[in-house]
Amino acid sequence: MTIPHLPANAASQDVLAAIESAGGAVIDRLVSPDFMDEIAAELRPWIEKTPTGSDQFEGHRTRRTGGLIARSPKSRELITHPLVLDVSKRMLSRATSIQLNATQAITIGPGEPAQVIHRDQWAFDMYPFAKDYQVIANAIWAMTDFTEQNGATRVVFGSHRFEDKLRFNEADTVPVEMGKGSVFVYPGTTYHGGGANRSDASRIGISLSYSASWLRQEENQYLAVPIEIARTLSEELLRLMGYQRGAYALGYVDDLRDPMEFVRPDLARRGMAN
Amino acid sequence: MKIQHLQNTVTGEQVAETLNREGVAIVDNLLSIAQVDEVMAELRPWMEKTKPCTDTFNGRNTRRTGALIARSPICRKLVMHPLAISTAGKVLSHATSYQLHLTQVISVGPGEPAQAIHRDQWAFDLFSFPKGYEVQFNMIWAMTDFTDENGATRVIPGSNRFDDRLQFTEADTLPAEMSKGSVLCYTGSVYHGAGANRSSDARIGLQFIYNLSWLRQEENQYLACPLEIARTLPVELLRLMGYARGAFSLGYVGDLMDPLEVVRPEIANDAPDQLENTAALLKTRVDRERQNARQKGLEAVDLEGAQLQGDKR
Repeated sequence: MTIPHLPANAASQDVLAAIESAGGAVIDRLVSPDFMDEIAAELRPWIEKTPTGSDQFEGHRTRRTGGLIARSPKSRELITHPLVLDVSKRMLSRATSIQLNATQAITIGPGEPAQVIHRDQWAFDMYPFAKDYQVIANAIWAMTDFTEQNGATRVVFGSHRFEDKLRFNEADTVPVEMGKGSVFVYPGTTYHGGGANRSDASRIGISLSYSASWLRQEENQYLAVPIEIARTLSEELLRLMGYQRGAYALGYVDDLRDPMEFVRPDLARRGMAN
Repeated sequence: MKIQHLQNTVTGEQVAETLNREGVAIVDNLLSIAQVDEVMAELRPWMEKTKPCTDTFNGRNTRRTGALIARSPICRKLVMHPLAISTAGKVLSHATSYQLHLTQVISVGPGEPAQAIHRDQWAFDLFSFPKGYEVQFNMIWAMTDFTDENGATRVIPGSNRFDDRLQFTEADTLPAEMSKGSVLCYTGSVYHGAGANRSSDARIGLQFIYNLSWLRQEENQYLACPLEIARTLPVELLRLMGYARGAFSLGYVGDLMDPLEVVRPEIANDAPDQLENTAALLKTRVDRERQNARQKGLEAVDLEGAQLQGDKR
């Protein structure tokens, strides 16, 4: 049982079918390795400044660098990549709309042990969502090759259909190997964890997750992206970041105003229309 | 079933007990008339500037004025009123933490028809939460008397135990009549709606809702309250507004930073107390989950010493 790989020109339906069968799918070389290098160059100074994790779960040899929208203009193209966004919207189709949950460059250093196997949706206070209600879609973009040796993400095959709150070991998992520029897309129900890095170089992935827009965002985009930068962003990205009401009214500002009015009054929607 | 009236010496625990049974309760005269007049003096200039709503649900003859943390210093105190905090803490205690969902003064004008009967928790995309899993605690402070005639909130006591997505008419409801200075308390699962205002004066209620901190806030406090004002606020209020991570890591900034660091870097410093507190809560949660899992014959997850920090490796 290995995680299915699809070509960069795959249709959304095929990606979704693969995710449904295995709990996740890799789209090979969805962007060029050169493009990932350009993002890496933008992020390098920030990654170097990021402290390593403070506990076992975060990883003592792992750096988690957030705020990517503000820090890496090129990473914005990954966030709004049409195929990943379309697949994510379909995965989260039970909700009226989706939003950006978090942006994070994860650098796993040599010698880091494997991470505890978990579900991303546990972030929501471990609320036991029904099996057919997905709340998170996550895309991990490979900024270096992901190999079994360097700590490729480990996945429990087909576990998006499993019961909640189970415990697994590395032996229950398969590595998600992929080349630089590839992306691994999976739902918040899939049991997974970072692999142990037994190589002598860092394994770097960019994790961009999306969530149902009635949930709290893991990364606060209003505080993470300064307003001067926000004003320069595309409407699509701003709406994903939360400058749009979720469901009916969630996230309005003062007198029921569209939060878009705060950054780009010219794009704001009047009344309660979303 | 009648709406329970409680004395203003009631404890949060007692309010929460009533809400657990009936979903709704009124605390009589929690504020004096003079105190109401003081807060109204702060609110009135903002209410006068507010345009009526543009849709039927919000009310075309109704003005809803928000951003009350920024606009009204007295509201900052009312949001943190000991009875509010102790009741919210009880009603929402099954989650790791709660936050401020919205602040709004609602002025229902004369001639406004009755609002559709609804549950406030439908705000969350109509997601069906299980019975007994409360996601919101709501307080409406009466800034005028609330009467049947002037559009007192209509409620169905006990409807916190009803099925979801039911439809009701005014005849199924009772008016939450109360005097100026009293407070209507109810949970997000209670079917209710603003009554028709058949009087010649506006009916004014000051509404604060608290919700579980893993859900999105209805009012965006980061945008509604300018940073210059936020910096002057007490830490407890800031945390309630969302300048704290919800559940394990929700709402962090940058490199997993406590959002409080944005407003008060000198005290945030990754707040070891808060982290310890979160770790303790997580352990309690895990112990409970493990027990549940054992009962179901499953092997529970082991997260001891491993704080969930929004991992996406």
